[in-house]
Amino acid sequence: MTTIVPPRERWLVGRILVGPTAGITVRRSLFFLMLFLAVIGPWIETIGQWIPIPVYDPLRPDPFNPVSPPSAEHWFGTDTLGLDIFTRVIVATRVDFTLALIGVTLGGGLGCLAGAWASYRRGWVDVVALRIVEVVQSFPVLLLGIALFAALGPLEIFGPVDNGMAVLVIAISMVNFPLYLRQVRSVLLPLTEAEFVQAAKCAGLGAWGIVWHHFIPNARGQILALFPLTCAYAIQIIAGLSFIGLGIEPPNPEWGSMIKTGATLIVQGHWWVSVFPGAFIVLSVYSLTGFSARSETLVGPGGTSA
Amino acid sequence: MVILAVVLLAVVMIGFTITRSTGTPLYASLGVAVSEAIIEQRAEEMGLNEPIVVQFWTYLTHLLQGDLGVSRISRIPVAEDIALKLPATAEMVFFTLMVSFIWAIPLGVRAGLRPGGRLAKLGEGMAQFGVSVPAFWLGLLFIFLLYFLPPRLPEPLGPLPALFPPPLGRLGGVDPPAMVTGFYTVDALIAGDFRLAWEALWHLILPAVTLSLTSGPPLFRVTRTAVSEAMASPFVEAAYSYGLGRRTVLIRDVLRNASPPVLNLAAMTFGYLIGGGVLVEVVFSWPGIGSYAVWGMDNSDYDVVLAVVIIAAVIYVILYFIVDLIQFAMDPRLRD
Repeated sequence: MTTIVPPRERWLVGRILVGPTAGITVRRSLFFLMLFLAVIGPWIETIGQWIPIPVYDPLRPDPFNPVSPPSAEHWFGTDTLGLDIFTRVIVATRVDFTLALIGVTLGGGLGCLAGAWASYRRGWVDVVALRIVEVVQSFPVLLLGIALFAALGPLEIFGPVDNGMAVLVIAISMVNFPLYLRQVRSVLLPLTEAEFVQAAKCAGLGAWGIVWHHFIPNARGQILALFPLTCAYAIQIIAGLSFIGLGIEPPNPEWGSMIKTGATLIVQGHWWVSVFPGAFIVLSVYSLTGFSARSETLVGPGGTSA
Repeated sequence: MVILAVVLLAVVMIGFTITRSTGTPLYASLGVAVSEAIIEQRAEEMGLNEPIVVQFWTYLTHLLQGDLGVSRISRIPVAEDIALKLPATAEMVFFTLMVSFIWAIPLGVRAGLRPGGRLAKLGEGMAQFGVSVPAFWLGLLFIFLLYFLPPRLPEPLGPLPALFPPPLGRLGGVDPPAMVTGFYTVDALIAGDFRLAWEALWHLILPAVTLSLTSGPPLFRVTRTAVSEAMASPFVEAAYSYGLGRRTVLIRDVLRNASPPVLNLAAMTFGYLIGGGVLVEVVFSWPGIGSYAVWGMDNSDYDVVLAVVIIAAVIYVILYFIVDLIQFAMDPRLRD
């Protein structure tokens, strides 16, 4: 049982990432830069020994150098503990990207399956799915996150995994689940009666087989358009929750918690502590949303995003 | 109506299960250095030894009577605190929408009428910026650029009146006006105190602009789409062919037909921001329900968190419902 994929849609991911572009090359190179930083992340210190850039241990305080402005030794300055902001911003890239990716994949994946299942089954399954979506979406995202932290924060139920990170991932998944469910469902609902589905049914393919082999591939374009957008959104949520002290604990580098450190300093004019991590959030979000626009044009009309 | 009730019930239930399934909030209110017996006694008092279903039933019946529990830290009923803080949030969100109406909608109309024009590009740029920037960081940036940077005289001469107020809540150490609506600007005007009204408005500007820039982009985009769709529709063409002037067609046909989705989204944005402006409230020390929830979180005061979550979600759901009804009443096409 194979799906018929029009040749235009082959290698969609590859074409979105490196295919010819019309005018958004700046954004794309920005994305690859962020990706590169995410990959080298924690190894930046080692790399600093080979090429002359001033990087330090992201966790070792320098008590003689607190809150010093950007200089040749500290490109982005230092914070209250004397930690080097340039190093920490780069190390944090991986943390933010990974958490966003895991959360979106988890919640989005489940959302896709549930959406496809709902649009195949229709009837009460569909109704229940829609109600769940409605209920989850009526919580403001950050308050949902706060409530989750209130519930799961004190419990150490995730074993070796850092508690804050695990709750962050759960929060991101919960936010993404309804988004994907809705999107996939809206694309697939008209397909329930399509001829190829009937044919597959006649050929004896089970419900899950149809959902997996016929429904999900048909929603691929829309899923791909939604993916970068939701990742960008997830980064903002992670940073936002860390900003109010939930998620990643302060000594560990994370953009949101770094901005938090700088929040009290900015009224005294020490802008660099907050500004640089924030700028990195802006850059990642900006570069990621570019891909969404791009996959929409590649996928063609109907590829609307939430 | 039934659906609304079911959704509301589910919202409360999820909120309750999430916050109640936690460890021992009792230590938070009594401190760690208390004996088991006192803990036990307190747990009995608060009904924590009952099965969770009974607890939920108690909570629900109290909730329907407007009782949201008591803060475990301050011992003040949560409902009283929320009654004080909700107007602060509502005022901020209301002014945010005002600011959005000033920039997002005119630009959206313009962009819909003349796509590719200079104003359309400006609007798209602002929208792009708004979705990329985290609201709390933008707020901090504004504080630095507009509050810290503008020049002030050295200490002995006293500071020059700052361009914008320090990010410290709704009023700078002045007594708030007598409570009528809870909106300081409105209350001050009712009391006839224009200086106080100005003071309140002055403190509102930065939070409102920050939130508007980050929550306005969808409004801009929806306005643009609605207007350009209306422009391309047969009835606009027909109106032109009757010989009606550009201005008449724009107001009578285009804007009237484009307004429902925009108003719809504006109402949704309002409902969403009631709970969605948490971070901006924190940045500007705005004493709204968002900061209240964060305060509750910091003190493991879960009834506070639960109450805020439920209030925000309930407002959103009810608003959603009302918007649907209005839509229904306004648009005859939806009625069959």
